[in-house]
Amino acid sequence: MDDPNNGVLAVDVVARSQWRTVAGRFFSHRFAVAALLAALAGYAFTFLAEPLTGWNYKELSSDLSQGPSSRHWFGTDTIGHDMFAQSMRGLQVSIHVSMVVATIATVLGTVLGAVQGWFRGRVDAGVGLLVDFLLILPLLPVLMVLATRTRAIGGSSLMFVAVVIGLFLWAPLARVVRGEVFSIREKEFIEAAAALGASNTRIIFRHLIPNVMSSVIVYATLTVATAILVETALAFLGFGIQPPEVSLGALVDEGRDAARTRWWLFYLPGAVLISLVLCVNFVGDGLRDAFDPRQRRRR
Amino acid sequence: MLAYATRKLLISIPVLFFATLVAFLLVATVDPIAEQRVFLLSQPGGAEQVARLEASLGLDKPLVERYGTWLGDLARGDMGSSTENGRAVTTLLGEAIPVTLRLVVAATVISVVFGVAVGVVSAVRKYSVFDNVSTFFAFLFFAMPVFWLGAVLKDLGIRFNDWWGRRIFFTIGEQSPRLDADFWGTWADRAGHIILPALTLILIQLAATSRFQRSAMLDVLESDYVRTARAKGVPRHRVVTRHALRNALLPVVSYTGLTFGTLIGGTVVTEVVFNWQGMGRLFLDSLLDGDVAVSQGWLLAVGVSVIAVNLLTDLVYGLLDPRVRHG
Amino acid sequence: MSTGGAVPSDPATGSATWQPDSTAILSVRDLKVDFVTDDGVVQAVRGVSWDVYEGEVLAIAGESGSGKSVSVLAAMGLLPPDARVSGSISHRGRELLGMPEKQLERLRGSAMSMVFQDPMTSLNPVMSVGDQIAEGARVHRKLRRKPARERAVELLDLVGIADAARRVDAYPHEFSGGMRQRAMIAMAIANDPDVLIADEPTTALDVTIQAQILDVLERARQAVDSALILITHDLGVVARTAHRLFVMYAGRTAETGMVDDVFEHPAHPYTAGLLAAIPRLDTPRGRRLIPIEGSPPSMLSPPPGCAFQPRCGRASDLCPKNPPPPLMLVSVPSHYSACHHPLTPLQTPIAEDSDV
Repeated sequence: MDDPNNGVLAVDVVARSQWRTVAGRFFSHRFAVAALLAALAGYAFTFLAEPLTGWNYKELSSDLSQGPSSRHWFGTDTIGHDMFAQSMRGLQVSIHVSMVVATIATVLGTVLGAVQGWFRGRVDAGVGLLVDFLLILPLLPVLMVLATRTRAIGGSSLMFVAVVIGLFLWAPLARVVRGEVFSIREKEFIEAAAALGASNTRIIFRHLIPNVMSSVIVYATLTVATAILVETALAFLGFGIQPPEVSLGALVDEGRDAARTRWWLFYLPGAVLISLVLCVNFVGDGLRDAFDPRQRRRR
Repeated sequence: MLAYATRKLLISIPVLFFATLVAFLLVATVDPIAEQRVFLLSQPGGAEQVARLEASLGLDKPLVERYGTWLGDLARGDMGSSTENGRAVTTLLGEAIPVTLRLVVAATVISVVFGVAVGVVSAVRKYSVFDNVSTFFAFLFFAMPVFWLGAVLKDLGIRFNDWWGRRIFFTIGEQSPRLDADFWGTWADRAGHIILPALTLILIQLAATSRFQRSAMLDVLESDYVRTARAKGVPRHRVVTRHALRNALLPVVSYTGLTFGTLIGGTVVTEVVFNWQGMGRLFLDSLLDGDVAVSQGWLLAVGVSVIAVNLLTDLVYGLLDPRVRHG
Repeated sequence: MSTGGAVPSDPATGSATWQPDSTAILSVRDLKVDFVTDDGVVQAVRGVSWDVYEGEVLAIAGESGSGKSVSVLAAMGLLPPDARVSGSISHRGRELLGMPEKQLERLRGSAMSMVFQDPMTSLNPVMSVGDQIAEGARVHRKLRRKPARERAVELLDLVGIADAARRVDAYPHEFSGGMRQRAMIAMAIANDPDVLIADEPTTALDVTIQAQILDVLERARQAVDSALILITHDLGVVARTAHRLFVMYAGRTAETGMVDDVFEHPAHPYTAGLLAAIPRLDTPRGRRLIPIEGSPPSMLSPPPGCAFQPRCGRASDLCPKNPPPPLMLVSVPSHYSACHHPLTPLQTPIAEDSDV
């Protein structure tokens, strides 16, 4: 114990090898890895779509209501939009929105949950009331009301929609983090940190939160999927992201009456949307297995 | 159990008040006469007319007073009336609620019953063909947006009708317009209309419920008390039904309560897809028209139903779990 | 025994003294248990053999991971389905390994029963204690609700729960840890088993009530006149409870014999190490307790030869080459040890064959 860094180094090595184990387990999960690669490739492709096909999502071509062809991969709508360019733009928007939502919800949920679990008492009860309220709140109707209220102040912009959704989606994570903090706060290393006079902030951010990261990461992935579904549902109902910006939800809404005659307008944007959510869910599933091998299939 | 039920009931009273506040405030700042205001103010002498209109609707009063008035009216069973068509909000809700309730009840009951059954069988026969097939479909439907699934089922229904040469699935509305039938005829017609919308909600709810029940059941099957029961020589089917299932139902009961809010959202979307004249359409129109009284009444009705459902799930939980009942 | 009825009880063997000429109730021969996991094959049990005789208390001792719980769970047929079991386990001559689940169910809880380690998690939280005790009688004896309930009250009374007639309707969360373990014992003897297995029955309990629970266990055993297999890591518990001791190390036999003989003349360095590490009243003042250096091996890749050799002061070149077979001591028959360099001389392998 002459070297003061000894203990710290040891902990660091253990932590690093744990992450390596988790990463190893994740990468042995073929579906999850494929899904992650597909999602990343899809995202990269949204930027390559225009140079590859030559169509911008805002551009109106003279080809009206055409089926899929080598010229328009996903066909065109009644006023000449290239549906592939539109779908790719929608995909990009969905990914951006869901990332913002997940970031906001994850930070809020983690910090508030940890604060609840660490301070207990009144703080816990107060935040807990808010959590309980948010958990049972019918989210979609409330967001619809908020959308009508905020349209005047630029409420249909991409960022604004994302922030509002994010403010409502942190409750499930907060509940989980609170529960885990309740159980690890009794552990010796937390008591030791507290006994050494570490500040509350330090304990929460340096000791508690790093120890609940596995749940945080898994829930963050789930939140991405939820955010995509909420954003597109709002757009479908006409309350979310507004034209000329594109949402996959709005594309499906516009295409659904044409499902029988011009199927590409409805089925193709929908397929893009489902593929995205499926990929996110597969990644989430792989992550959960990697962090919690107990539930995992033995080979 | 009685003490537990009373306590739960008493807790929901302040929650109910909170719900009225949220329902009121969410919409209260909407200007119900926005269009008239613009028009009137461009006319000579319009300002007085606007003032008169505001006074008649109570808009000149402070927010707190308006909330008090609204609450007082509410206590007398008066939720105001629509600024669009002048009909009482209570009447509008009275027409819309039964329509939506049919859909919600059918979807909830069927998805919970089948979700529990599928989840239990999947867990007991882990990694069997049944488990793998149900896992596949659960994953698929879990990733599906309600609006897309609804529209797909609608499209498939229409294509099926065309192929069959007769209309089997109704895809528009909650019942045939100007239907002249007896009691059974009416319900048969309604059943034909409800199949596809209900299926939309069921498939999505079923995906989540069955996965949730499966993992709850797997946890319980690995528990020490299930091992104890097996050590007593209790036959396998009895271990599953008497020991495991009751414990594994607990998380699913709370889950069903918690996702009721999500189901409401799904119902709004489904009603829009299938053109039902239910709660979803009522709400959407009220928002688009800036019909404040209707939006407030709608939010309150939905809030009350969410509170009621959560009270119900609390009671069921108490019946199943003595620790909660006694605690 | 086909109906799971009363065990033939002989007043002569009702006492706690074990007769060497009694018949074996449970016989384990060359038992091996493997678990296939993501990280590799865990060899939990690597060929052990033992018998339990009528009316005796056999203690199986060893560190956690030595395979002691796994061997009795194999006998009960309670291992997870991914366990690979080989060898033989027979109950009164009937082979249990490979027996159809239906037949095993008839034996479990009637002829053989088990008390588990953690009473906080081993009782069903949503079922009343009485129902859980009565369930065994209802399943095996086809008793109706009322007589089964009366049986539960009787059993609760036997294990020392005061006011049993009222407590029978209580739920587990209304019981303390000690009371729950008493209820577990009541459950285990509900159908007069002839083997009772207790897997670390006092480990999860408060130190102050451990002795009480051991007393209750002994009283319950005598009430139904069964044999008891007591799994423990605590040689103090062995000294006060058991007639015979079986020491396991890394899934193999280390030493076995009558408790007094083994405590007096341990032949295996591991047993000697365990004994040196426990405080005893008869050791001279000021003598230090000596812990065993090192830690038990990983069962994913146990060392070749004698598994104790890396921690053993007496190890030679021979030890990592061949695993030593259990051999009888020269001085005491019925006392066996598996060691190349025993503290007390063993007979040579060819001298006498035995089925142990």
